[in-house]
Amino acid sequence: MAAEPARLLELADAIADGRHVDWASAESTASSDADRALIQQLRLLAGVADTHRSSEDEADVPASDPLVGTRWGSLLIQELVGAGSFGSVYRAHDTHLDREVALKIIRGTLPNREEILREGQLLARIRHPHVVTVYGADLIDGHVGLWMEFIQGRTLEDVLHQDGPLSAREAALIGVDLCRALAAVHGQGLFHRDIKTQNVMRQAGGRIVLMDFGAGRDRSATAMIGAITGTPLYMSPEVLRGEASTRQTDLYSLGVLLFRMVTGRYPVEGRSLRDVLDRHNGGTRTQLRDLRPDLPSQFVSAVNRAIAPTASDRFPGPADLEAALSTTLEAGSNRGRRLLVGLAVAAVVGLVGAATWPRADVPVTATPSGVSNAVRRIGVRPLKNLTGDAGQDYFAAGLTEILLAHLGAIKALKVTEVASGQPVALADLYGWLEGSVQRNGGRIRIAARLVETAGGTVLWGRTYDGTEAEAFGLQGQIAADLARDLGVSVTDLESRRLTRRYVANPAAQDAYLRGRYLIDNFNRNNLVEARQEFENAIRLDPDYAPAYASLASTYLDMVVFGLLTPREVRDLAPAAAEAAFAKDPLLADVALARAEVRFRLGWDWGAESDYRLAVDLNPSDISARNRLARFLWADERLNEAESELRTALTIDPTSNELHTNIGVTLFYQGRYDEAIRHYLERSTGRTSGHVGLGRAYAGAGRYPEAIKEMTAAVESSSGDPTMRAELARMLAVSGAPDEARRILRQLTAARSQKAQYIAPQDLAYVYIGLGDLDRALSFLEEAVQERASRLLWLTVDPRVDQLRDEPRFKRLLQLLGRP
Amino acid sequence: MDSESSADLLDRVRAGDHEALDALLRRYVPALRRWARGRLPRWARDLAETEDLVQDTVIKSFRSLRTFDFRNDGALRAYLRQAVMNRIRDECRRVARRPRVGELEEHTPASGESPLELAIGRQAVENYEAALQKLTEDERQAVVARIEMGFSFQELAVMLGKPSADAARMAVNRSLVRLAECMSSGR
Repeated sequence: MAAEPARLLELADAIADGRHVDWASAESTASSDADRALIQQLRLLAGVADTHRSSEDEADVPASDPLVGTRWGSLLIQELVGAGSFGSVYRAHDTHLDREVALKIIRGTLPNREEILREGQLLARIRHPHVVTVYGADLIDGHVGLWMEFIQGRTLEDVLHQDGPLSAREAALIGVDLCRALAAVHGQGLFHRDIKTQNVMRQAGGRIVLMDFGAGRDRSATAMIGAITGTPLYMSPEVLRGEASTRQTDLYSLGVLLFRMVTGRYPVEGRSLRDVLDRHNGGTRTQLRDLRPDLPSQFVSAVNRAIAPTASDRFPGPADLEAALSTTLEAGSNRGRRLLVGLAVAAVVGLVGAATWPRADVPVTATPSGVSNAVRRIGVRPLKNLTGDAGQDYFAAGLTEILLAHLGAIKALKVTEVASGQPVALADLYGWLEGSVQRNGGRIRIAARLVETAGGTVLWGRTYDGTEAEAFGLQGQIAADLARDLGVSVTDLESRRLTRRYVANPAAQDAYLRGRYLIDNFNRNNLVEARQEFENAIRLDPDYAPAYASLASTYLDMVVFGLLTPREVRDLAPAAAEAAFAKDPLLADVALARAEVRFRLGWDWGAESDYRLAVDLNPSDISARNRLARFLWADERLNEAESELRTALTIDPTSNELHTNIGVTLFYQGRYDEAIRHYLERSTGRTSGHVGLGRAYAGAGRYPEAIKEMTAAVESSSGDPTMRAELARMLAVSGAPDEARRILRQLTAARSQKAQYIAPQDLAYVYIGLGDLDRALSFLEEAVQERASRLLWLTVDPRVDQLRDEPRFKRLLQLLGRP
Repeated sequence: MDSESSADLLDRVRAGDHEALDALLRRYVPALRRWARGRLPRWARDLAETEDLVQDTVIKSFRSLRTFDFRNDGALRAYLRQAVMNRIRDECRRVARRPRVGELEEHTPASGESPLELAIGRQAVENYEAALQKLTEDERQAVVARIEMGFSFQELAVMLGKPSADAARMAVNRSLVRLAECMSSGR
C-alpha cells in the first residue's frame, strides 16, 4: 500500500462519483514515483468510469439516497446534487422560511465535527453578495449539516475548460469581485485557505460567488491528508513550507487563480509536492508576460505582485489588489474587442457613491462601492391589484408595464419580466421587484420592494402616493429611487426622463391601460376593442403619446390577423405613429411603433434608425430587439441579427419568441444542422417549433422528418393554410408531387370560393417546389400588389433561391425597395 | 426493484411464464445495455442488433441456468455481464472474419475500437481487464457495478451484502485503489 492511502481513497471516491479531478494537481501531490504511478492508474480508471457514464441514458440514472425525502430540522431534503468523501450536498426546502437552500451533510465518521460546526456558525455571519451565504450550521439526528444559499452556475474551472482563457478585462472583473469577497471573509477574522477555480461559481447572470471554506470538505481533507489543505499549485511558498495562513496567502492563491484564468496554467507547476516546493525554492516560475504578451501591463503587474514569492512584497490586503485591478479596467475601457453586452456596459459604469439603504436591517455588506462592475439583473413581478376588484386588474398590469419601461430605460440594469408564479431563472437575478397597487378616490398608493433572490430578504422597500394622473411619473420615481439605492449608474439623460412629471388625463390614461390589458391578454377579437380604447384615450387627451403608439401597433396587428387590409391602414397607421413621435420621441414604445409601421407597412429600409432608438431607449425590451433582429434578417445582416438575439437572451433566457427567432436565424444562415439541434433542445410542441424544425430538416434534405414535423404543425394550427402550403412544398421537393398537388388543389379551391384567405406567396412556394417557376413568380407578383409584409424576407429565404436569377424576381425585389 | 426475488422469477421462467421473463429483463437488461454501449465498437453500437444482442444473451443465460445458485443479486449481475462480454467478443471475431465491404469504414479507421479503447487505449483496456481478474470476486463486483454499470451505493450495499450505502462506498473506493495497484504492477 502506498504512503498516503487516505489521499488515494479520496481520489477513488471522486472516480466512483464521477466528480471532476484536477489530475495534474493530484499528481503534483505524489510523494514518490510509485505513488505517482498509482495516481496515473487511478486516472485511467476515471477514464473507464467516464466512458461508461457517458453512454448512460440520463432518464434512468437512479437518484436514490436515503436522506432524500426526509426532514433535517426545518429542512425538507429534496434532491442529491453532489457527494464526496466529506459527505453529501442536497437541494432542500426550508419549510419555515419557504426558500430553497443547499444542505451539506458532513459524513458521520469524520473527526473535527465540532470544529466544523463552530466554523460553520462563524461563516453564517458573513453576508456578502460574492460569498455564498451560509444560513446556519447544526447537529441534528447525529448529522452535522451546513445549510446555505443554493447556487446554480458553473465553476470557474468549468468556464475555463468550456470557454477557454479569459481576457484581462473579464479576469479583472472576476478578481475585483473576489477581492471584495475576501475582504468580507477576512473582516470576520477568517481565512479562506482554498481559493481555486473549482471553488468559485459564476451564475448565469454573471454573479461571482466564492464557495467552500475551510469547513466541510476541505477541513475533512486536512484531517485525512495531514498538514496540508488546499491544492499545492495554488499554495504560497510559505504555506508549502508549513507556515500558517495569512491574508497574504489567500491573496497569493487569488493571484494564481487570475493567472490560471487568463492562461490555463499555473505560475509554478510540478509533478509532486516536492517538485513544486523545489521550484519555489529555486525561483523557477512561468512568467505571465511570456504566456500572454497581449495582456495590458497593469493587469500583469497586479497579478505578479499578488503572487510575489515573499509575502511582504504582495499587496497588504484584498482592497489593494482590488484597486490595482480596477486601474486595469479603467485603462482598458476604451479599447479592445466588444465583449458580451453585460461586460461592455459594466466598463462604462463609473464611480458611484456608497449607496444608502432605506432600511437599517438591510445588510450593509451588499452595498456596491468602487468601480461598479455590476450590470444588475433584476426581475419584475406584476404589481398586485389590492383593490379587491378584479375589474381593476388592468390598472395594476398597466402600471407594471410602465414600471418595466422605466426600469428598462436604465442601461446599467437588466430587467426581466417575471410572470407571477414563474420560478424560472431566478437564481441568477440579483433580486426581484414586487409590489402592490391600491386605488381610492382618484388617488393611488404603490408599495414596491426588492427581494433578495436567494434568501427572500427584503433589500429595499418604499411606498409612493399620488394622484391617478401622476401614475406614470410615480413609476419613474420608483425606478429612479431603486437605481440610486442599488448604486447602479444613471446617466443625466436617463435621470431627466425618469423624473419628468408626466401628467395625463386620468380618464385617458384609464382607457389606455384598458387597451394595453386587452393587447397583452391577446386574442384576435381583443384587437377591435383595444383599438377603440386607444382611440378613446386620444379623444380624451390628444397629447397622450403612448396611446398613439399603441394605436399604430394595433393597426398592424389587425392587418396580420386579417381584420383590416394593408390598404385600409395605409394612412391611418403612419399618422398615428408620427403623432406619437411628435408628442414624445423619448419613449421606446413610440420609437418601436414607428419603426414597425415604416418597415412592415411602408417597406421603408430606413426604419432601422427607429428600431435602434427603441433598443437604445429601453435596452431591456426583448420585443424591440426581436423586431430589430427581424429587420436585420430582411436586410441580409444575419450575423448582426443573431448577435442581437443572443444579447436579448441574456435578459430573458426563457423567452420562447427569442429561441424561435434564433432558430429562424440559423435557418436563414443555412446552418441547418445547428437549427435542428436548436429546435430539438427546446421543443415546445407549438406550431412555431414544428415549422422551424420541419424547415430545418427540409433544408438539410431530411424530408421524412421534415414532413412529419410539418404535419404536426398543420395539426397544431388547426389546418392553417400557410402550414398546409408549406407541407405541400416539402412533399413536392421530396418526390411526392402528387400529394403536393392534392393539397394545392384544396387550397386553390378554398381561394376561389373565398372560403378562406389564402396568401398568394404561400402558393408560390408550392409551385417552386413543383418546378413551375412562372406560376410561382406570378403569385409573388400578386403578393406584392397586396403589399404582403411577409415578402420582406424574400431577400434571405432559401426557398426562393431557384428564382434569384430570374429577371422578374429581380424586379420584384426592386419593388420591395431592394437595390 | 420489483418485490419478487430474481430466484422466484427465474423459477417461473423455467415454468414457461413470459411475464416473469419480462420482469427479469426489465430488471437486468437496461443497465447491461448501457454498459455494453461502452464496450462495443462503433459499427456495432449503431446497429439495432445491439439491443437484441444484450437481450438475447440474457434470455439464453436465464434459460441455461439450471438452478439459481447465486448467493445474491450482485453475483447474478456479474454472471450476466460476463456472458454479454463473451458474446461481444465472439461477435467481434465473427465480424472481423467477414470481408470488409462498406466504404464508409475507410473513413473511420478507428471504427473497430470500442469507446473505452478509444478513451484510454487498447493496451490499457487489456491491462485493466487482466488486473480485474486478480481482484477478489467482491472487489471485482464493487468496481464493475459502480464505475462500469453505474449502480447506486444503495443498490451496491444490497448486491455486496454491506450494511449501508456508506459501507458500500468504502468498499468501492478500496477496490479501486487495489485495482490501481494491480494495474500498476501489471504494466
